[in-house]
This record gives sequence, C-alpha cells and structure tokens, in this order.
Amino acid sequence: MMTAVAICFVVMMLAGVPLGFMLTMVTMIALYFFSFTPTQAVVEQLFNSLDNFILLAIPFFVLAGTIMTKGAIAKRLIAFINSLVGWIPGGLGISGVLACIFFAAISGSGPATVVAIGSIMVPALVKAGYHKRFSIGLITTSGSLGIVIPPSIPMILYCMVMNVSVQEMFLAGILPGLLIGVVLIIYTLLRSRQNNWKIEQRPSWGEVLRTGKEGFWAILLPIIVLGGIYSGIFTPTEAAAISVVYALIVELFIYRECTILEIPEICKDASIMASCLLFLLAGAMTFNWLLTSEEIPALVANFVMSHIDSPWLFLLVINLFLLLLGCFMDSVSAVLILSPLFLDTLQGYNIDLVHFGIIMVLNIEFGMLTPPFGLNLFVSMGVTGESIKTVVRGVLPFLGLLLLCLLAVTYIPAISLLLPNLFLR
Amino acid sequence: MKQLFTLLRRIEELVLSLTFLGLAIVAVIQVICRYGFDYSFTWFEEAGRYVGIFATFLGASLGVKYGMHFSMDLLSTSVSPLIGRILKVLIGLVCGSALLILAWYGFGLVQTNLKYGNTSAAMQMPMYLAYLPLPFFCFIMAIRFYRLGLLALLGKNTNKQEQPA
Repeated sequence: MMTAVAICFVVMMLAGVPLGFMLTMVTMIALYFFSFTPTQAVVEQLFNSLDNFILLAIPFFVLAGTIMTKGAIAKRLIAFINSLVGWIPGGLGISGVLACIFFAAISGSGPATVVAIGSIMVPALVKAGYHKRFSIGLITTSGSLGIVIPPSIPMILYCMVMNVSVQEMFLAGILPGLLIGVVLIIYTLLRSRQNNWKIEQRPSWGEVLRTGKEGFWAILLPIIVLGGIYSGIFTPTEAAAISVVYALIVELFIYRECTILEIPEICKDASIMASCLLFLLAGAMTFNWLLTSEEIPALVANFVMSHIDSPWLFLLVINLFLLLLGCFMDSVSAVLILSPLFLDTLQGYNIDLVHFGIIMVLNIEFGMLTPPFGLNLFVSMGVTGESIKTVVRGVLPFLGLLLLCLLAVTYIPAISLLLPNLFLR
Repeated sequence: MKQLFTLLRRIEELVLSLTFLGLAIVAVIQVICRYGFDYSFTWFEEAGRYVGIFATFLGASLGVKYGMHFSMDLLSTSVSPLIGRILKVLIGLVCGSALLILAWYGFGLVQTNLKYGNTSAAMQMPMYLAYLPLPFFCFIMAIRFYRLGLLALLGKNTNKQEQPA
C-alpha cells in the first residue's frame, strides 16, 4: 500500500498538481483502495482540520502585514530608528536591520518585511554609498527575520501539524531571531569599517523627539501584540485581529495615507493567499491523519533510530535534507509535510518539539533566501528592480552567517528553550 | 454573459476581503467588551471558526482561478510547451474530478446533518449550515479546474500569474 501511495504522491507532485489538492487526493486514493475507513471521512477531516480558532490568526496576520506595507507605518518606523542609530559608523545598515527586527515583531511574514523595509532602506543605503549588492543582501536577509521573530505565520502552521502550543513557539523564536539580528549587525559594522562607508550627521535631540512622536503608533503595536499574548490578556488570534484593526485605524485616521475605499482592493490578494495557505494546511493535516492511522511515523522512527544512533547526527541529517529539499520545493510545504513524519522519532530521541520547530523555521528562512523557491529573493527583485543574479549574489555571504546561526540553534537548545522554560513551563 | 461572470468574481473577492476584515473587527469588539464591560460573546469563537471555514474555501476557489495555490512547478515549467500543455489538461481533469467526488461526499455530510438535526454546541446553529460551504465551493473549484484544463486543451493562455507571496 505504501509504495502505491508514495508513487501517486511523487507523480502528482512532479506533475505540478497544487500541493493541497495533491495531499487530499492521495489520502482519498489510499482510503478507497487500502483501508476500511470510508472515503467520505476525507471531507470531515478537511473540515475538522480547519475547525480551529487559532487558524484565523493566519489571515489576520497576512492582512495586517499587507495594510502596513501599503501604508505609512514602516516609513515612520524607519525614520525614528534612523535618527537613533543612523549616525554611528555603519549606522544606516544597522538601522536597516533594526527596522526589520521591529517590523518582524508586528508582521508574521518575511516577504512583507522585505517589501516594507526594503523599498525604503535599499535606495537609502545605496545613496549613502553602501555597495549595492551588500545593501540588497543585508535587507533581503534581515527581512527573513519576519518569520523567526514572533508573531510568525510558519510557526502557527508548524504548531497545527505538530500539536504544539503557539505561545511557547512564539516565545522560543525571540532569542534565535535576536541572535541572527546581532550577527547581521556585527557583520555590517565590520564591513562598513573595512570600506569606510559614509557616516551620517548626528541629528539633534529635537529631531529624535519629532521622529519618535511620529513613529509612536508604529512602536506601540508590537508592545500591544506580544505583551498581550504573553500576559494572557488575549489569545494569539485576538492579538492578530487587534493588529489588523490597529493598522487600519492608524493608516486611515492617524497617518491618513490611504482611504477606506482602497482597503478591500489592498486586502484582496492577501486574503486569497491566506486561504491558499490554509487549504494547504488542511490538505497536510488530512494526509497526516492518514499517516498516523497507518502508523507510518512509528515505522519511520524504527527505521531512523536503527540507522542513526545519536540525536546529534539525526538533527544534522534533517538539516542537510531540508536544505537540499529547499532546491526542489517550497520550504513551508516541505516542513508541513515532513515534520509530522518524524513525530515518533523526535520523541524517541527526546528532542523537544518546540526546539525542533525553531530549527524548522530557520530552515524555512533558508529556503526563502535560496533559489528557485526563495520568495524573499523574488520580492527583493521586485522592490529593487535588480536581476535575480544580483540579488542572489548579494545574499550569498549572508547565507554563510545564517548557516552558523542554524548550527548554533540546532546544537544549543537553550537558545530556543530558555524563554519558554522560564516563563511557560 | 462575460460581464455577469466578471461581476460575480468581483462580488466573490469583495465578500472574501470583507469577511476576514469583519471577523477581525468583531474579534476586537469582543476583546473590548470582555475587559471594558465584563461581557463576553460566547458565540464568537464558534461563529469565527465556521465563518473562517467558509472564507477559506471561498478564497481557495479564487486561488484556483488565479493559479495561486502552492505547487511544485519546477519540473512542469521546464518541460517542452506541448508536454506542459498536456500536463495542464491532465491536472485540470484529475483535480476537477476529485473535487466533484469531494463535493458529492460533502453533500452527503450536509444531508446526514440535516436528517439528524445536529446543532452546534454554543449557538445551537444547525450543523448542516456549517458544512454547506464545503460541497458548494468544492463544486465551484471543480468547474474552475475543468475550465483551466479546457483552456490548456484549446491552447489558450490561462491567466496564471507568478506565484505571489
């Protein structure tokens, strides 16, 4: 049975059948030919997978990110951070990274962060004399922090298929995200010292105060969203809803850079995208249900544990495998389909599911920065108007840095688990 | 006829955006009521889930039209145009048929729930209403997949755009 199902799976995937539909069809075929469970159960399974209040957080975070990208929140945020650190050596690059970190803490998506920050920061950096390739690489890479620093859409998806608490995952993402941020900042400092890049004039305190006042509404949002989730005032879904409404109110009534009539048009593509993401999740969870009822994860665990004798090596193999797989398919789909397969293996090796989740998110981040499926690369192309070759070559040195961070996060579980252990366990 | 379809699509897109935005607004009002007036909407969690499912299927069906679903198209875009066309026709045919079957099963689920009069836990809403979007949009998606297949068969360029974020 497994062989037949695997053949259907691979053939349909290679033929380019949309993955959500492919997973649903494979499940239907398996049930019809090889199982006593009636095939009708697939419909109920699709329904049940989506019947979860947490999932509404996904369209909400996508919408909030889109509204803030189209509006003025990002612009005001950058102006404020620039006035704070822009004048130290390499300061403009550093403020680019900081702006990405900050925006990552309001939006849950990497591409949204690249659009919001990149469209302003990359031209500013180039104008200030930074190398073009360096500027593009820096902001494209920093933008990918959008999915590591909470809130994060891929984290919610991982939590759904692995049955992990979203709060714990969000908390676990903070330190790895900051680690990557700090590494990027240090690299920027070294490079700018080496090249003697221009130093901006130090702004007056009045200027700092003015930009701070204008950026106030942008800075308040992550405090409300993350503070609210961790103090237990509201659920992640409610926090996501609040960021949508907050972004709407700020853009419509405070910054007044778009009108109410433009809103449905702005939200259209984002809504469809979020629905496709949710449909993919429903397909993955339905397929997952089939795997579990056929006890496939236990088989995988047996196989893996009889061939690999340490969790250390297992994590290395998984990382390499995912990096390789990223060249063949979109990394979010890969993680959604693969990680449930290893559920029993992880328990066998005593690897924490939250820790593993952060490793998966970093792998997704990698996938977003490498061709041919690197979404951030394409978005960055669109924002800067450069060719894919320039963008990829710009990002290349940063991938080395990210690889180091991935290794650190993989082999030092404390980086991801310290905060959840302190506050939630 | 063409204008009618354009109008319907516009309505679909508007309903989708407004549903997600509306849910967000109600969720915020709910939080304000909980802390401001010590009053919580017991029905919102449940209603949110069911409306969310409705919107997801509505959006997924638009996603089929615009070719926005995630797929592994590395191979299918690098083969010769003829094979690419054949693949598209096959995908349209296979996915369309599978979705027709799903729509039929979903319809069965609606009927069962109608017959036994199941209601939801919090709102006492008839469950068949919650399941209704499933067969309906599976049917629409089936038609959209068949249309994509047919367009590929006739050699017309489908309006498949680059996969957006």
